[in-house]
Amino acid sequence: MDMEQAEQLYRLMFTNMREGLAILRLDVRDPEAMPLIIEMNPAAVKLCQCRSFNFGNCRVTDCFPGWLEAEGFRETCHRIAAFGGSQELGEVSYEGHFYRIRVFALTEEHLGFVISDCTKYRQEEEKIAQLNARLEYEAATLERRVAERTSQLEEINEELDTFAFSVSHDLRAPIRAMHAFAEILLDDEFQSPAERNAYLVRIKTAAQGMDRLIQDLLAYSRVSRQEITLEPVSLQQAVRDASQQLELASGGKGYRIEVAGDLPDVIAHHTVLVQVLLNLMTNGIKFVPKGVVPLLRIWAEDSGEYCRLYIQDNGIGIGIPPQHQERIFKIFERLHSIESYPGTGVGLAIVRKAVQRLGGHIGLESQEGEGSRFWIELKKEQ
Amino acid sequence: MSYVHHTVLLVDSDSDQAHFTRLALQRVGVITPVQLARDGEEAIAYLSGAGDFGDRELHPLPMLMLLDLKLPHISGVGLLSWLREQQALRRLPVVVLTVPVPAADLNRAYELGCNSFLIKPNSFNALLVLMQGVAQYWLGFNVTPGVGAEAAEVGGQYGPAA
Repeated sequence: MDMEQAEQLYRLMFTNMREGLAILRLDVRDPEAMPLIIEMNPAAVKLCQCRSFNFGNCRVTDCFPGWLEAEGFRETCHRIAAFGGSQELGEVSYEGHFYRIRVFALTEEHLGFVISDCTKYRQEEEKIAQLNARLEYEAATLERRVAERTSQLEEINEELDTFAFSVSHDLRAPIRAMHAFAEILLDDEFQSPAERNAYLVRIKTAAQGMDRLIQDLLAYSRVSRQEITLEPVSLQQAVRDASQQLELASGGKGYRIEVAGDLPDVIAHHTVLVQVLLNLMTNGIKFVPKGVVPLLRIWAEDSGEYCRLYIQDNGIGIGIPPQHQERIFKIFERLHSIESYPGTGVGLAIVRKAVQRLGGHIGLESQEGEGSRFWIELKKEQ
Repeated sequence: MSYVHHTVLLVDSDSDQAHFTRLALQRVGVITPVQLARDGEEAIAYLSGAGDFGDRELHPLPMLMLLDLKLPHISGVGLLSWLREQQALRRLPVVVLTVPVPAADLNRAYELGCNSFLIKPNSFNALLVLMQGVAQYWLGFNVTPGVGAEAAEVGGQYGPAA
């Protein structure tokens, strides 16, 4: 390859490069001298803003105004001219594109100046940054959901533990009683026929109690698992249906119900809601001292996006401090001995589970001797 | 062996269980009627001599309390902590007689000063054996502290009860 051909090829290469190339000359004897552009390829000319093309006199800072910090650039050029090497001069944005500029030593007084379009990289980097941010966000969300789930599972586990413990206790109590009564009966030298009879009755009662308990446990399990579709439900209708069922279930026991005003529509499930109301109303007429006619007062209050339905009775009240009132919603918690007020201790646990399934809340305000005021909160129909 | 002047206060809300315990104590020779409180409130009323319980001829202060932890309203543990704060009653020996409870409740009962912790057996015959041991140890061998009015006296009655 002769010199002429090589010269031609180098020139073609220089001309056709997509990167902007420029050759700078620097008067190294004058430290105050700015590098001047003596040659530019077409790509660089396209970016050049002085448009004068008077090579030899054109200062870099005039061709590319605002791209470079003049003092710093001058110093860099003198240093590179003296010691060799190259220097990245950072990135500039110009007419929607991003350019990276590099300057490097050619001879003692000449420098190469390269402008490469990095818009594509920048866009990709931006995309990567966006993706990263999204990934981080999703990871955080996932982590939060895992944490939420874990705590839910822990709660369920704890509930299951208590449940298993209570079931074993409450189911074993009647078995233990039957066992012991049977033993006493078998060892019969001490008893009169009347006593024997009384013992047999107690075995029967224990068996019945156990049956009722199993029924209640099944109801509890059913309300926990059953498929429930939430939809607008008339609270008015639900209270009316529950009152009718209460009348059938109370077996002629006298009581009064006062429903105040019109009750709104809520988001719930009719059958489950009626069951909840019936359980609370049954409770309300149960815990009343002898000789007092039970009175239930029912009304609704607005509480933000929820509707709060109160069921107030004139019973004995439970008189436990508010911080402990949560206790009575737990399975098998009883506040009274089985003799004074019968029940399995599962009723309120069923009610709470059902209200949870309806997406609502349940609570209680009670003072000893002043009756109990249960409330359930359900989402309002918008 | 029979125990004649040995009042035992049984606190149990389960009437069947209470019946078994009383019957078992009677069969192992506790002739003094076993007093029954059906919940924590009644036990407190009995021990403080409130209302009908004021008649100490009919309702004498016990020399031993048998306590079920599973009580409605005031729990057994709650009753125990009340008891240990009463100047006149805090020395009363308490034997917990309960259905199995979580370990935390067991430890709490000891911290609050129960003197022994027993689990109710399933069978009546096993209960008889247990009550035999209880009566022999707590009403027989064990030296009782002064309780009630005696609690204020220096020393009180000292020596194994007959």
